[in-house]
Amino acid sequence: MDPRKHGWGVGRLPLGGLVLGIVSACAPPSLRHAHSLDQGKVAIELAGGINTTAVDAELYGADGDYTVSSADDLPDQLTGDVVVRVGLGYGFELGASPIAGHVKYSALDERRHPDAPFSLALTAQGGVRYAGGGLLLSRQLGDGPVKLRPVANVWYQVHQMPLDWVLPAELVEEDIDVVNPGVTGDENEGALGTGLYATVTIEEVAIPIGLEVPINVHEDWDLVPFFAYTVSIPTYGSFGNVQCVDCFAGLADMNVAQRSQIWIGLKLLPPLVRPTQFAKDSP
Amino acid sequence: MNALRTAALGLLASLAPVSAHAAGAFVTGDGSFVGAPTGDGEVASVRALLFQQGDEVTAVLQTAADSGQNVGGAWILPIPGDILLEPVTADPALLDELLRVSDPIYEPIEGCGGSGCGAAVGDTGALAEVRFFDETKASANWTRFGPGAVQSAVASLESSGFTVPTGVVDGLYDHAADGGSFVVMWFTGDRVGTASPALVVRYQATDLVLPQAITAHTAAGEVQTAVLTITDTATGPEGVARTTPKLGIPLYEPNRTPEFYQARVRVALEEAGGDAWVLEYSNQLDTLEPRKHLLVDASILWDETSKVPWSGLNALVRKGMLNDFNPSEVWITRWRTFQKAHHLRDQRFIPDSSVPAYEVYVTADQFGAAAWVWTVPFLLGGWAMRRRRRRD
Repeated sequence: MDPRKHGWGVGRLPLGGLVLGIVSACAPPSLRHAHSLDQGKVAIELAGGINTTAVDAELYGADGDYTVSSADDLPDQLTGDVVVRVGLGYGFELGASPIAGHVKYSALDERRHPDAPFSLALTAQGGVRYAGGGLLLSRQLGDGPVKLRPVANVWYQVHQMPLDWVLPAELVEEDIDVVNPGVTGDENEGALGTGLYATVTIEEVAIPIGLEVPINVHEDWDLVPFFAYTVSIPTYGSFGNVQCVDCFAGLADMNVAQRSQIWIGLKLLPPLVRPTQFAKDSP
Repeated sequence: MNALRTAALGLLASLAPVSAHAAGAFVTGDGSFVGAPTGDGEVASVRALLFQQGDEVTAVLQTAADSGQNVGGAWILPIPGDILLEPVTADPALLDELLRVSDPIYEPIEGCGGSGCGAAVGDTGALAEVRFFDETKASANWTRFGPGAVQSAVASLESSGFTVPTGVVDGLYDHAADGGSFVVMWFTGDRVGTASPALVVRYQATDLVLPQAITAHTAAGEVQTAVLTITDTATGPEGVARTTPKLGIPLYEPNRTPEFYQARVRVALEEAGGDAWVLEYSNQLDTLEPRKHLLVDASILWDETSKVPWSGLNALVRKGMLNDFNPSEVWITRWRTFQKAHHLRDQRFIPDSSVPAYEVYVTADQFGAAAWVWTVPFLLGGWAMRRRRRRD
């Protein structure tokens, strides 16, 4: 494994990358529907995706100016999202994913409110390197064993991620064996290869839009394939913990060049819209 | 050979229409040339101080060839005005200290320790080769000429064995036609060094000009020039591009900052054009005083015991080559450039209030983890979109 890919890249093989990505990646939320779970009910979501986050680093070199991108090759763009959720009743639920725990409240719920034209929920999610709040919208269409559920989320989120940049030869002098000594307390020092490293924090409005296809496979379970596309509108950014190994350059600026995700996944969860006569009985 | 030169000096003294005389003195340095008439050395570096007081200017000028070159002979120094006082030589430390205290400063990093980091207060001297001139002891005589003495001066030089290129002769005539004077310096000692003495000339002029037009005829492939102007206000080179180097957040060892700075000066000049100048310092003269305390090596100061880093200027006052001045009322501006020979010209430096107070000061925290905000591009993007919508 490339030692420079610390906590972000997920391997070289697409399949291995997908599996590893699901387990270990720190991607923002994939797609969250607005319906709530009954009290005590559990849902499991598994998603794989392509995260195209790329941050350009503008660098001053000894012989000119350069712009390098953190964009990864496709295998390294693979990421994942695993979520386990449990219903608390009255529209509330708790959940956990690899990067954060979340709480959700379905204020308008097609499951609990039979006349609701759609479902609307508020959610908050937080973890070590991620925090976000979102407005979730979804509506279930159809009444057969296979239904459609368009979903749209609007998140305001802060996501901190380690990124790395491969530098052109003009910005590298490999006889320099000292990591930028101005950076202290870095646990990775010595394990990094030649290149630029920084922890980038992006504040953004992220809008995942997708479609879920609930397929009723059991009285108590729906199998729900889904896909989604997330567009990001960065509103603020910062970077820190800058390290450059073997470098001879000045860092001018960093800019988000690209930020989006494509998701495909599978959810196993109880049917979210039930016959009308049961709806009001649910806590 | 010495006898021949002595004879030539006598001839020159007799021909010069201005009260020419050979005020010989032992000086520091050896011969090199601004507009030199000899072919065995080429000007590679020029450093100059131009101190304007009313309609009089005191110039301290020094040149150097590339290291390893053995230059010698004579130095023709054009002076853009009537010479008021007999030129004198100055201790080159006068220029050293002013260049040193106006150099870029890189703060040491606490706890860095070890080799290299302790030298974080960097300088341009060693790398730029504009401050550490070869100061091999040599002796020189000089003669000053007025505008009408070009022909006799050239004849004297040729009669004493120098080959004066046609371009230099033409340049001298052009210079004299503009009312300029000139000084010919004859090196009489062993010419093993690469730098001329620092010559101090007080002349009458209402503006500041660095005369380099005839230097083009005997210049090396590239000439580095550092100019310090001291006037009532900031100055800037007239008619050419001005720039400053972009450095960014350091991604290198602190002790390599001077090297990086030099490289970025080159990049800035290339981007700005072949005749551009880089601004390196601009502020009141007395702002150099706190910088003195950051010097690692105080021995480069003209007077180590002095409390001020312009004691070399005070020495000129005592010699009568400079009127008394108040450091809090004069402004020092430092410009530097690398130019190909064909870009060399008599460069005028004009008062320019748009030149900001400026220094290169890389703080220690810039070597640490850094934060940056990039909201501005998005705000600008939003503003542009809104304007476009309004137009539509």
